[in-house]
Amino acid sequence: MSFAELRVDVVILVCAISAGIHAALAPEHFHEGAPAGLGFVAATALLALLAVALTYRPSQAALLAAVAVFSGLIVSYALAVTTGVPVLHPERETVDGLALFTKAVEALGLVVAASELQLPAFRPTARAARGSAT
Amino acid sequence: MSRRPGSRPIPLALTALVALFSAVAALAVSNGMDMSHSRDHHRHTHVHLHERPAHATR
Repeated sequence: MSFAELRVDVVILVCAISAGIHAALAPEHFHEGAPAGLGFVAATALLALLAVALTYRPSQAALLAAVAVFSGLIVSYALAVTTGVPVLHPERETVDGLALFTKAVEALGLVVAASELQLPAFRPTARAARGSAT
Repeated sequence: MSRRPGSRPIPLALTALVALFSAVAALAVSNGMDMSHSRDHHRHTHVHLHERPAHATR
């Protein structure tokens, strides 16, 4: 197993941990309101889909989707504890240890997934290498 | 990105097991926090109710 494959496995595990926690907390958030509960169900479904996609067809698109989903979840939580999320969770949420743990795990997944992305803009091309030599 | 033919990803069953364990742990932690909050609230209420007659007799 290469280091790159190990990193994809870490992203898969992060998806699984986050999906499990979001699924467990969904009923509690349905008591606060249907939009908040549906947000948790959507997060669970997206994370589960990502775990399956990265298991069977690991690709740059799947890693990019993982980066987008992790970023979205972290930004949503930051909004939820500061200003509230419009429509989904208008009231401010209190900070708790479980949420902070979940966001720390997602941040790890975000960093690992982003490190595995090969963005064309940052890849040195043969032309650039030739140009620098002359 | 693709895996080499010899390499194997984490089995989906193991991933599902990790998700299930996370859900159970999250429920345990979440219920624990709720019970702690409820017990504190109950104790606060009890003390408050217990102290009220003492104030009333003064």
